[in-house]
Amino acid sequence: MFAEENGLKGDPRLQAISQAVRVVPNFPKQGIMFQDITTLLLDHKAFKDTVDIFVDRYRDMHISVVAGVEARGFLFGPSIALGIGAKFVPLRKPRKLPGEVISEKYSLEYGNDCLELHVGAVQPGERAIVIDDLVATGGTLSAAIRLLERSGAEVVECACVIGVPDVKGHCRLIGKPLYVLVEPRQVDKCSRCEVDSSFG
Amino acid sequence: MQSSVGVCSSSSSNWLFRFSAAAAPLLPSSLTFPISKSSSSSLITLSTPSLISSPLRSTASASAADSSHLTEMASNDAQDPRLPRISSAIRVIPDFPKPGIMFQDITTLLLDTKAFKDTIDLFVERYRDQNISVVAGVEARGFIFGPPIALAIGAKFVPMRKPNKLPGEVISEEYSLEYGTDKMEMHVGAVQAGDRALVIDDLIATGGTLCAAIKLLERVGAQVVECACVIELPELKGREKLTGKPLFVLVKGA
Repeated sequence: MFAEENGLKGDPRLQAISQAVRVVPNFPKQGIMFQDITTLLLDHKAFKDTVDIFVDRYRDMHISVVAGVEARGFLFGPSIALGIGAKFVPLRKPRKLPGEVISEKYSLEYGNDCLELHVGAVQPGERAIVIDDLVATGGTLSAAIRLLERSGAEVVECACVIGVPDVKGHCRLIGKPLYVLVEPRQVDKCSRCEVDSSFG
Repeated sequence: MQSSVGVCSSSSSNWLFRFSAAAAPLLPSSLTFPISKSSSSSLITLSTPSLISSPLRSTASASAADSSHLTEMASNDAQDPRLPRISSAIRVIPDFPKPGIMFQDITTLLLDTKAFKDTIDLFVERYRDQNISVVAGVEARGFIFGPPIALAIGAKFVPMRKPNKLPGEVISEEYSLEYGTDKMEMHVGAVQAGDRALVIDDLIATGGTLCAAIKLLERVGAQVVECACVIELPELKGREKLTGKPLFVLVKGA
């Protein structure tokens, strides 16, 4: 569900967050309009508002685990975890985590990838949220959910800054509620780009 | 980047038993990590710079002077009371990623909400009045500590990434690995001339990564005020590779 439909209708923070994301056409390949959140991180107010919106949502939901997907989930997850008093758990690409791990494969457009979670990081019965910068197909989030559930946690919701409007489809795919702040933009009306031409 | 230091500590694969056998098995969700100074701990803590009166220097200073200053602090018994818990929360994994390397695993620190918060607070307290406009964090573990610090001190966060991850126009800096080289990239336009910057990573080993980050920032005219890491491996002398920039760390791997 979008933040706007869920209590934040007309919230001016959402428009500023949307405009702080830069669209980079044809990255990593032709036809993809890449939603670049690095410009959001340069806008202190918009970045802080992003974290605050998630913290306000989850603070009273008794969440004890915030799981962030490598690497852009690491940019948002720890601040949210600190804000709600939860642990932060990184979900990583293979062979990055040094201790004993559990692994979950997931499909890419071409081929597979894999996410890992440290054994012992999450306990049965813990209430968890999964954070990433963007949800596209939902494949990564699905793998994240499976890892947490294999550890016995209850995944309460997945939260992303950006998501396509096919929200019902996503919920079916990942089987969990999904909370998204803004839609992807097609053209570059990035507020930072208007200010700084070197950022074209 | 890690390298071989120190004495092999207690069993690694089961993190519940990271500490000496005297420690009872921990409830994993418990915050009561033992504050252990036993020989199994390979980390010693520094007293924090908040105890010294001298402010951060805004110009590059000789690293020799800085490190002797910090050594004095290390022998000073007055230590920030938050440091032992932070030190104890870091798990050491022997022989990762290869035999002989004692890997300092900060993921267990992230599971201790008080210790993680204290870690961030220690950095924020140091930098909040230093007019820092940029926190640059090195992929990927620098992404965990950098953004909370940036948010708290009112700075931008700039990710320093491996090649081909950043989508826009980038500048690159090559740096040496034990075998071969790697490259670090930063977005053009993210940092402006005159920005006062910190570089953040979880750990400094040889200093190669931090040195590359410093160079990228200086190439666009930023002033690197300090490098900050949770952990230093002093035997690897990374501190000397920082082109004279000061280094601030919370704990040292002995």
